[in-house]
Amino acid sequence: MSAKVFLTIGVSALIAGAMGFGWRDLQNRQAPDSRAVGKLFGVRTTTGMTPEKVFQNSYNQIRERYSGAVKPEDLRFAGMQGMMSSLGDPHTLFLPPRAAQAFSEETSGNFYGVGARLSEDPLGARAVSVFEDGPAYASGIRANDVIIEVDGKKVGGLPTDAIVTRIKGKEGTPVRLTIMRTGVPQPKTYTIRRARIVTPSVEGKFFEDSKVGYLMVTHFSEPTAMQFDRELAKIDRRTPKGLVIDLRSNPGGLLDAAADMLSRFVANKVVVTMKGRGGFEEVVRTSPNATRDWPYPVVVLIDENSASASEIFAGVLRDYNKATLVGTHSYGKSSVQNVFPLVDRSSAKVTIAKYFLPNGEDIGRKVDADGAYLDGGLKPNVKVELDLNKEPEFGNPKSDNQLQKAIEVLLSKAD
Amino acid sequence: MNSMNSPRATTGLIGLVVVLFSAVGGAALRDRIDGGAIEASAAERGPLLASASKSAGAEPSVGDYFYQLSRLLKREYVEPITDDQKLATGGVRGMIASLADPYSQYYDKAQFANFLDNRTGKFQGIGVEVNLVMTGPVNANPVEESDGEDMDPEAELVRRRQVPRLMITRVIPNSAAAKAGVKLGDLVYSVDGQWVVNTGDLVKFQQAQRDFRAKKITIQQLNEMRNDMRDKMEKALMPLRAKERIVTGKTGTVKLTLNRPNVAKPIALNLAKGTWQAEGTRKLADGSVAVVLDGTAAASLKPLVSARTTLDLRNVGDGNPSAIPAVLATLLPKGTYGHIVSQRGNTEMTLEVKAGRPAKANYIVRVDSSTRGATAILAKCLQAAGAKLEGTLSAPAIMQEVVELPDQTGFTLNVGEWKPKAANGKVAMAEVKS
Repeated sequence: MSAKVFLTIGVSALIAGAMGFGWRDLQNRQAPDSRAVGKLFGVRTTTGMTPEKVFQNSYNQIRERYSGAVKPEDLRFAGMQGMMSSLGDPHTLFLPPRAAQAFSEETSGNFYGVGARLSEDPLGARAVSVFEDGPAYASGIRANDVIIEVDGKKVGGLPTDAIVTRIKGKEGTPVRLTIMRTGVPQPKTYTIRRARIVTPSVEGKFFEDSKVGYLMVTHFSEPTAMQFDRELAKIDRRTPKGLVIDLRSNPGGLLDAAADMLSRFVANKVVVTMKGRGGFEEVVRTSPNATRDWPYPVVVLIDENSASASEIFAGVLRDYNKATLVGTHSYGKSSVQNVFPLVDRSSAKVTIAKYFLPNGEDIGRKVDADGAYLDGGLKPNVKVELDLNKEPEFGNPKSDNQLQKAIEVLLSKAD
Repeated sequence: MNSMNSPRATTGLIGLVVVLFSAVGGAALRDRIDGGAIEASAAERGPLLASASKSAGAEPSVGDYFYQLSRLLKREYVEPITDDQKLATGGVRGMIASLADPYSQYYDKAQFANFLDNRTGKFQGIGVEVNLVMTGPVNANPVEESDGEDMDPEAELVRRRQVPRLMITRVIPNSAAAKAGVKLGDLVYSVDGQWVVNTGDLVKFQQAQRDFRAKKITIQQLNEMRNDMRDKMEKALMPLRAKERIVTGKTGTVKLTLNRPNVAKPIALNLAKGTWQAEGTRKLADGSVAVVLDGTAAASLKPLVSARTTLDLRNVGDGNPSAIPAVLATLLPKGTYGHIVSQRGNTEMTLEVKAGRPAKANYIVRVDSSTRGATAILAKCLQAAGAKLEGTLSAPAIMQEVVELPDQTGFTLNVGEWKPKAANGKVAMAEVKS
């Protein structure tokens, strides 16, 4: 065997070794990071003030020098939170163990309630609708009742989300709700057992005086498209002059459900383009042959709580000139997140891709360093703020001025 | 023809084995480097990820934790992350913010440069020093925990009992602020028409909700307040962001609304920004001596003071704590004049003069609400030495440490407060409870 052969083997081995060392980076389409290479050759990376050293030093400094007592874990979590929020994306978040648990409960659906949809009220929370097959309805709670206490504690002034969190709990456990009802002088307390709630995602109505149909879509889940078709068929039998699709306070949900519903409007058209790292691109389209006739105009109601799939649904109808958007700007959620569980039961929720509407628009919410809204979301064609002085109830044209405006827009188009 | 017998094939086989071995060895080496002795398949995702955790209690160090999470972000986040240092300083910002202490603040690059400039008398903006102070009503109805979702100002208000307010603590003579009549103790209510988040307004709103329940006000009145609150929230500024608008920038104007104690109506001003130079330690018209705690303070003081000098510590800024020892040695004889004690009960520093003025002095020391930080510590030391204080020292005498980070951002850290006596002993960190 010649020296040349040895040399060839040696060089190949070296290259292979280096490739093995950098394999993970190659997979991730990154250059091998200098920290790992530095460590290999015994370079003291600590002297160069690597970012993790900067972080570690500041952490130690605060732990050792700060006047007050600091729980190390809390400080670390705050650091991770700060690090992730430095990306300026409100959806990339560090979830400390407790919040992480709540998030997984929410997404895995192990959460139980009483079967009512609540909205903001000065005294607590107003039941906008009470599901007929839920335990709250069975106990006697009705739409428009105002929940003023949960388990004996006043809830006035709390955000509706916080009230909902207090009402929800383990299946079968009791919760006491104190209710104020218009025309009834004394508040009444009900004890209700929490149960698994199957939320209807589409509620239909027909307004006799204006001959306008109304579909409130509360979220997008598997049965939503089917419920949408069913409720729409009921409205069609009344030969409406127009249709309002209400997506206010709809936080989104399954994109596929939204795409199915959009297939009733347009065939084989782009719904969204999702773009991720390294040129990854995925296009979601409507079905080629699932459209139906729309002999009347459509208005979509949106507000700042319309997010994600809601915004896609509304934005696609707008881009293909199938509907007029009425209300206020939407939330501006144009991204997809993945949750990565970490060793200490905390987790990292990271934005991994972005949506773009058919016209190419990125409706992503822009916030400042303090998280306050700057810009973003869908802009309505007809802007109208909700008038709180009328004590509005969504879906009631007498008190809901945004709905009134939507009907007005429809009737002007129908004439 | 059996190729296995050929020497060339044997060499090739050996070569192939060696090369493969090197590749596997290289990968294994990398795993050891990156994650300690964690099996390869798990290490592929980094030891921080839950699936990789073999045994409980083997938590990575804080630096490694940070490193692993930053790797995860760089790999998965929708946009490429090129600036690691920004992640690190973001983390530091988060840790400092979690202390919720007005004396511990993170400053970005421009803010930190301005902070250091202020210590040498160079000012921009409208020519004031503003500081966070805990004042005003407390939110009696706080929500104890955040759910980890976006930190918007509203959530912040509801969550915290009190949001510190911005107080004017120094007005540079001849600056735009001084000419317009901005006074020490003024509280900033809004900047350029944007409401500066304060708990007082939320407490008022909560009161209105109670009044509505008690039928003292109508739903229209309540909704008017609610709309007003919503409009404010829409364009709310967190205090530090408002501060930035006031104290940075050399051109343009800024509109301020100020609340002045004992003045019912808010004061609206339109002020020009510029650059301003504050004077250092000097003799004032009435013969008293203004002491500005900076690098030249001790040298300037020496020829100006006698045993009965009146020292003016009002409107001179927080001052630089590192100037204290030399100033004390100029003003006071040998002795101990108090200690900096942390809330945890550690004595962080003893304010001691080893070789100072030969004779005892009887100073009169003028103080007010603008006498803060290192300047307040100086006042306390002088008082401990027998000086007579004129005025009321209302700000706590807190020692701040300044830490500069490699990207020229930085932070201040509250390390303790002046106390006449040293703490009894060291409290080990392990014993500190949350």
